[in-house]
Amino acid sequence: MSEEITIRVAVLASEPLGYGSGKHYFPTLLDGYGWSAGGRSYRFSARYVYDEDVTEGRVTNADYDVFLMPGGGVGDGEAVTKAFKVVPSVRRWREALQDFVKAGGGYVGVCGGAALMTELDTGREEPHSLLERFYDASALGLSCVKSYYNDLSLPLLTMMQRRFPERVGATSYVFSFAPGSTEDGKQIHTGGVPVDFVIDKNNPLFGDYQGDRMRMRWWAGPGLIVPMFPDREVKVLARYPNPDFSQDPSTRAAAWSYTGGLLGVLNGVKDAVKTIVRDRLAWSDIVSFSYYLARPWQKSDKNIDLDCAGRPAMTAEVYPNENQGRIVLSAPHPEYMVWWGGRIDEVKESSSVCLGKGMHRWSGIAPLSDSVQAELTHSWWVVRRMVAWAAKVPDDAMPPIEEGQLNDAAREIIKTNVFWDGTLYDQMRNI
Amino acid sequence: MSSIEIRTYEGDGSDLQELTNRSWRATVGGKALFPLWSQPYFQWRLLDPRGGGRDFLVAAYRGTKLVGCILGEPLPFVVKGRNVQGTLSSWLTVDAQDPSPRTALMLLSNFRNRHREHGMSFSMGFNDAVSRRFWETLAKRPPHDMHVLDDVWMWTRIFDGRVVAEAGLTPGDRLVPVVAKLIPGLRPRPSSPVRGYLPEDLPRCREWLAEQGKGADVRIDWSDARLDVQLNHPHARTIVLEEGGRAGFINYYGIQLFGARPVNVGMIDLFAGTLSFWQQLALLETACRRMKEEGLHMTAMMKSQASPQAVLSVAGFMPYPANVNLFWFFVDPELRIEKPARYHVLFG
Repeated sequence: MSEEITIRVAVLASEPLGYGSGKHYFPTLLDGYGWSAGGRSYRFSARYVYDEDVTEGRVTNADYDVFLMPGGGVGDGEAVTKAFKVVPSVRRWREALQDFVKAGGGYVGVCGGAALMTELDTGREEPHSLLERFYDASALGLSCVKSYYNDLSLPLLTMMQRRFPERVGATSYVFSFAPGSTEDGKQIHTGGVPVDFVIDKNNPLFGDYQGDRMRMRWWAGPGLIVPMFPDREVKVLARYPNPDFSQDPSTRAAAWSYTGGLLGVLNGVKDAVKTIVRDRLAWSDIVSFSYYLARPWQKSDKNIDLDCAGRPAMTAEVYPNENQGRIVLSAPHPEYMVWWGGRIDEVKESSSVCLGKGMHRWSGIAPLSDSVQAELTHSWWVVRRMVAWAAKVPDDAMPPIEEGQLNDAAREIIKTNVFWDGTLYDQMRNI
Repeated sequence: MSSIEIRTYEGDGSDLQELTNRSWRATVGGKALFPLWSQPYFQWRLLDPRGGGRDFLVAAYRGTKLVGCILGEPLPFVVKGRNVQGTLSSWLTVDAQDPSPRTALMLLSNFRNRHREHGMSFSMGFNDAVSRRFWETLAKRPPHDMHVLDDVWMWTRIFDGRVVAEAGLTPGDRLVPVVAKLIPGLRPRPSSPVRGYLPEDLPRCREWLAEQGKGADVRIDWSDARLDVQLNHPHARTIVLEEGGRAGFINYYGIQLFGARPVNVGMIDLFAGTLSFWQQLALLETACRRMKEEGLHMTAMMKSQASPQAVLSVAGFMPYPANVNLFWFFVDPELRIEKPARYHVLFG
């Protein structure tokens, strides 16, 4: 009988800014998944943990092997709120995570989870916008890798956006996309871009991968910067393609600027109240809905320049102490669905354009498979390998490269996060 | 103990890193700034299959142990308008723990024979303050075919004055970086995206280098394969700017120099194209920003036909004497260049 090893994964589930995330993908693709290699059986056990679990000492190396930080409202939310180091609970939270890795625990950070781990460099060297400053200040001080955004700011709140609309930067690929359409007439949620990342095979995650490129969903993750002379073992797993996909006519996005002023915000509040009352939604959504519904916006003649061509997009490093904690950072979202074909168009300018309805739209996407299994689970094995490597599974015992299987949770994802139900609420919920 | 055998280098660069780092620390350490060559560096410059092969990688072995080396790469050159074959060489090292006085001479003798056998017209290299005496002594011996071509100067820009100053070995070395950090410069951002090098850039990069090197007494006549190694390798960085029908590139790599402590240097090898003055400044600024991002403390570019002096000086670079000579040896008597030579070659 082979030895059975359970890899215990803590998936952070707090969304401190109220903005949603794809955190539910991780238990869906990890929990209960098992494989055998080298005479051993491995199985993931994935559990949600919350900020208070971290600050109150319930996420320890005795309980978990890997701490997984999703992106979106989790990682990006933490990358903002954990910048306030004077707050005692923030300090305790940060110290708990630092202790976890220094004691040999693994850390997997996806998109905002990678940004949280790292200091930030920008196209203007030092962080300038408020968001850039938060992202830089929240760095956990565990990684030798830095993240890079040419610009990063929140739409609507970007300073001097009429003159420099492009300074909203990568968040333009988040806020936001109108539902996209496939060639066979399906309407699906399509934020970000499915990117063919350039794979480096000199590592156990991709060593046996057939092919030089791997399509994974990118949704405004950072570029990564690996120092030329690092203080530890660090490997680049994947790089952004060169030239930059933000310069490609099919995947570039125009920069929009908000022109509605205070009146436009008040209109947004009014529409948010109407939506909440009409659809009997939670009043806690009032702030995000108001933000999404403020209008109007004006399309500029400038495009977003990500300046990520050739930069590292995924890295693996070993924390340099005797416990050898492992850190995997991923700008792409391998947990998310990909698609093929299509192009990004800008929506027609009108007085009703707002973040909630979207400014960019995917069109002409190749028809999806009948079950959407191929697209949804395309890169799930990458997530499993990131977690397995962070948990110190031997290099020759990585989970197999295979298409994932659809379970009930995955079918629910397809229903709620892939296909658009035609409502504005569903659209805003999937930003 | 077995005797020393001189033969072609057989390794993957890891033993070259170990030998050169250990021996140079022992012999040059504390006396001059010296490079800590790494395995990836050797794999890029000398061991890449697209490069010049191993005919001029001469190693001294005691049994299976590497105890010395002199390394050269064969390249086509244009000397005073004449096409010749030569080598760029450097890295002469004898194991500090196995310092046979004859090892260096045996290496050089073998190196000379290989040049003769392959019809090479010269080898070109660099000496520093510590190795200079050895080479000068050699130059006085027949057949008197070693000549200094220039005293090398570097264009330098300091990113982290404190770290560079701490690496200095003399009070002057420690003061200059602090002052140099204060030199102002024009540092515009490019108005078009800067991208990485693509294989389709190769032909025009080659054309630009040939054009840039036209006025040089000696220049590398880049082959496509060798230039591809130079520009398209994980150890090197090559960035390209295209704007308004003009284009250009910068090629650099990172290396650690060791003085009182290591300092991370971005060494610019090539900077060419058809960009305007302002566009060159913007591309250079992008390169410098990326070097800083990657943890480099300063950048340097050898003063030569390859270095656009006006751009570098306006960008805040400072010329600095490197205390290094460019020289050539085993020279075909028919080739003659007066010091100071104008050259367009790589610093090694």
